[in-house]
Amino acid sequence: MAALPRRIIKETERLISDPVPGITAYPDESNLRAFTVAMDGPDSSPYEHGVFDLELYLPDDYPMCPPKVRFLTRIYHPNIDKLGRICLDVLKDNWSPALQIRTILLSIQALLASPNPDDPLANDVAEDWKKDEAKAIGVAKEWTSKYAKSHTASGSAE
Amino acid sequence: MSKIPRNFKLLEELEKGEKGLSAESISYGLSNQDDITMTHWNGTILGPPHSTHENRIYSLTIICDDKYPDKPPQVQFVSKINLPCVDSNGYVNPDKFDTLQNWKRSYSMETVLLELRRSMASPAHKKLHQPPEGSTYD
Amino acid sequence: MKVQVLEWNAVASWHWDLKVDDSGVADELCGICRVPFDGTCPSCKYPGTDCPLILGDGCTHNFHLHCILKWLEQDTSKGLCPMCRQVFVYKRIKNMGTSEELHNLQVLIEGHKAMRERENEENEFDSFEDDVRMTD
Repeated sequence: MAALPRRIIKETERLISDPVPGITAYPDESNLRAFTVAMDGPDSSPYEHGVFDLELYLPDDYPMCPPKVRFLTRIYHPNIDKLGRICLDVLKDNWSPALQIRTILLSIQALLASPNPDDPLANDVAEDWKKDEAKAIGVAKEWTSKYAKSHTASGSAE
Repeated sequence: MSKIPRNFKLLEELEKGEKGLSAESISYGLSNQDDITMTHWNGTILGPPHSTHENRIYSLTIICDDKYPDKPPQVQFVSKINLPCVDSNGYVNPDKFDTLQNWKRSYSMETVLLELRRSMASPAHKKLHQPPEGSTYD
Repeated sequence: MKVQVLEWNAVASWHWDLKVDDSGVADELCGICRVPFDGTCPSCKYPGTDCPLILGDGCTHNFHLHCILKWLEQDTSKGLCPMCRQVFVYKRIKNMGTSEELHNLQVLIEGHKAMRERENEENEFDSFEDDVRMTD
């Protein structure tokens, strides 16, 4: 395997030494371009108190192209589909090499705090969301307690 | 080249299949759209012309376990077919099918389906007598 | 005591002469590869004039030549500066040389410009069509 670019090494070191609050990201031992991520659901969102697992991979072209990211924990959200794929502009057309793993993870956390049913990936969820937001938020909360790990049980301070 | 992890490789394959960017003579997709592990897949092969398979559509199941793509997928025909590399239960025998036997990480489900189709169209196999159209392994 | 100099060796250091911004600090890292400008970009073995600094004109962002080249080669870059997303153009400075890579940079910038103009024309055409439909 080719040597890891310095930028990736630096980003990884900083993710570990100075983690983003509410997000942990560790490279896999066997593949330093692959990361295991755990993300706290943002406060006062339907995902509050849940910890969500994600996986992230830096393709060969990184940072000319964005990291690939997906949720491993099932989540009810209009911009995240059943396979955990995320619809977010900075992961597609609006990527810039000025962004980093940490800014991307923060953007994903922000997406959890403010779902955007007008630009959906999971169509049925987006429809539910637009039809009856209160009900959709209820389902999202239910899924959070059903599928996500509990925030308190993970050892994080409440 | 770095090693793309299993899940992201399968997502790429899925996207290629969903967008219809793969070859026209084959298709594949997840058996269950909710399967977050992306293990069970369906495939189809359009029988190659000028062979006993012409105008037939063969369906298959493909299993990509957690060793994929370091190890080849498990491939089984659902539609009955007479082909030397396919056993009496429809399984593609890796010892008799080069693509599975000499598997490379860069191969994909598309490679497998296209190579099976090529085998069906090969001069040695294209005239093999075939089971009735529409019959399946149970 | 008398000293006789038998031999001497000169040592010099160099660094890119970067404008200091209002706050008194010069940007020291390439915004793309995050390596100091005086260091080497990921495509180079040694720092130096084979991979000069490219200074943004209109924006204040600077990059290793190879880094900005690789970015502008991407369609998704749309010819924009990675940092501020303004259309990227660079300052022509004296003694910049005329390497093939600098030429490529210019070609990429012009290519993106042509692409933007074509898109604008298409958009205008679309709105023109809309107008026609409305008057029908």
